[in-house]
Amino acid sequence: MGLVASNLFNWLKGDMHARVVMVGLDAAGKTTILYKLKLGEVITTIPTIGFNVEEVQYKGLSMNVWDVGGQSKIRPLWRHYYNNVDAVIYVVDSADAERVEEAREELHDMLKDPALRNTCLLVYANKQDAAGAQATAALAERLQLHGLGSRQWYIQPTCALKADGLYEGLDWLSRTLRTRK
Amino acid sequence: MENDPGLTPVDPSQEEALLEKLDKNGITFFQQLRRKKKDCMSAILALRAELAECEQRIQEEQEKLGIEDDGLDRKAILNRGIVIFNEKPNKGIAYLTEENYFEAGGTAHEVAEFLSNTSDLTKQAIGDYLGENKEFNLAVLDEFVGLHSFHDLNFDTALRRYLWSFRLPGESQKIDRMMETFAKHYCQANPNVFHSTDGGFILAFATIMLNTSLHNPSVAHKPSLDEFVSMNRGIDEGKDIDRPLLEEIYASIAKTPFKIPDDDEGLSIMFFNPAKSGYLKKEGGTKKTWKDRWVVLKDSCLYYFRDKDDESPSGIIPLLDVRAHLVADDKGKKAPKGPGFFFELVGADDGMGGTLPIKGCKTNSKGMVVQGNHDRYLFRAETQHEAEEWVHGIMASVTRQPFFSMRRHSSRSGLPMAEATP
Repeated sequence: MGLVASNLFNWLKGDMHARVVMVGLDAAGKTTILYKLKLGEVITTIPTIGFNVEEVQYKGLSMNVWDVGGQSKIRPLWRHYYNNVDAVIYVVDSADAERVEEAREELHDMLKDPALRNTCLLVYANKQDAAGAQATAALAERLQLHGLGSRQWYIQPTCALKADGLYEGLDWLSRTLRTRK
Repeated sequence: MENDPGLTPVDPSQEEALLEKLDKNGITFFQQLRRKKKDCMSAILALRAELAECEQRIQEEQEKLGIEDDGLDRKAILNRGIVIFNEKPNKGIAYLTEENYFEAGGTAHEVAEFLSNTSDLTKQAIGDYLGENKEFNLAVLDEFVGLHSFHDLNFDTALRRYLWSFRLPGESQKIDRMMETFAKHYCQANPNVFHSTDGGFILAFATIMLNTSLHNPSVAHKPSLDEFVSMNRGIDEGKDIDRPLLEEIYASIAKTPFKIPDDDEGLSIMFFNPAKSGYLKKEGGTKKTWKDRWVVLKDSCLYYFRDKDDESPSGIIPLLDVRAHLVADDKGKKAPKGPGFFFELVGADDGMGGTLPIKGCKTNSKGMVVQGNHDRYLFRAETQHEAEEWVHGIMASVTRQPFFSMRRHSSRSGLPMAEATP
């Protein structure tokens, strides 16, 4: 009875589950973002050796977020985890002008994967408070987001250390995923 | 001393020339001055001799206690370095390098050995340090993996051994680098397992993914063996990894997740950086048999363990108002064969010609902590030097209870305390 009631309640509320992968170059801020999003939740799970994976709940959206990445050699392995992925969160260090090119290549390489064809893309333009940080418009240009065709994407300025912008990004993600399902 | 410019005598030829130019008064004055100088000089020399004697005595005392000035500094630097490292790994290594802790100036190999051999670094901090994408950290990672012996170990065992030496960070790029370095060394030690180092690298990475999927509660989908096999298809230079190897890895990970290297701060920190430690033979309390014990001297306590690797001691002796001294022979009936050098630990004088019992405790055969049965503890060291070092070390860590001494003091009507505590 209790279970049925809660399921019904969830349905009325419109709870939905999404699989999300988080990607980005080294030190772009992925771990900080993942654990800021988990903030306030009681963590009771036993830690496991392996990749950072977290279940993130936000406004009825439950997301399973994996930190995936690494060099191209191991990309075939991740492909097996891309099935049923709904969204990609791409984290970029807005202040690291030298590596924007590398970030663009990695992003476009990854999105070529057929399993990710129907995913939407949320870009966190992170470290906005750092000296020399580029504005989102300029970053979108340099990451060639406009060349992504029909894919729905959104670029959100963030400052992960202060959790600024993280939830605004999730709001967009939540709205977009709802209209699709 | 000879080089001291202030004490160089005046050139005699100059002095004679000077005397010729002076009148009688001048000569008297000059002679007085010379006498005074001579007096001052002998006073200085006497002081110097006294100073040297003091220095000599300080050094002798320090040697007796087994400490050296330099050694003490090094230990203090090491301790501080460990504390900083566990908080901020890069800063810890920078500190130790700046303080010249590393003999060769802090090469990647030296730092790797430091990470590998210093038991009080947290595995978490080691993992953080090795995970950094900086040139030097990467060089240390390579050296660190090289310190492991993977020869003739199967893949899964080698990986487990490796992952036990530090806490693997959760960032994919760090895992990527750490697995690539592992594969490099594993394939060097076992050249016939994979066609290419990349094959070993990708399989190691896939094994971490498998461990995450099967054991992280946040992952809903648990891949099957077939999925694991399929995901590793063609990873070894386009060739497949032998299925039995994949089956073995899958079964092993499914059964036993990678263990998290524990940073148990409970007991191990208690025995961190002992004043002295080593194997000694110890005479039993009730049964006068001799057993090998790993003995640790730390914080006014003597701990003994059945084995060096034991986590908790089998006995604890608080060094409170006790005395240690060398004894000529063991006096016991079942003394171990062969030469040995004995020392004993006895309680304080009871004021009536005997000694007070020592308040030691031990874990009995049922695992319960009980009071020890010792009026005295008898130990045997291999060499005279060892035995002496233990005695000096113990005596330097004995705590005196003022009340206790005072009571004893007054009951013995004014006997100097120094006599009771040599």
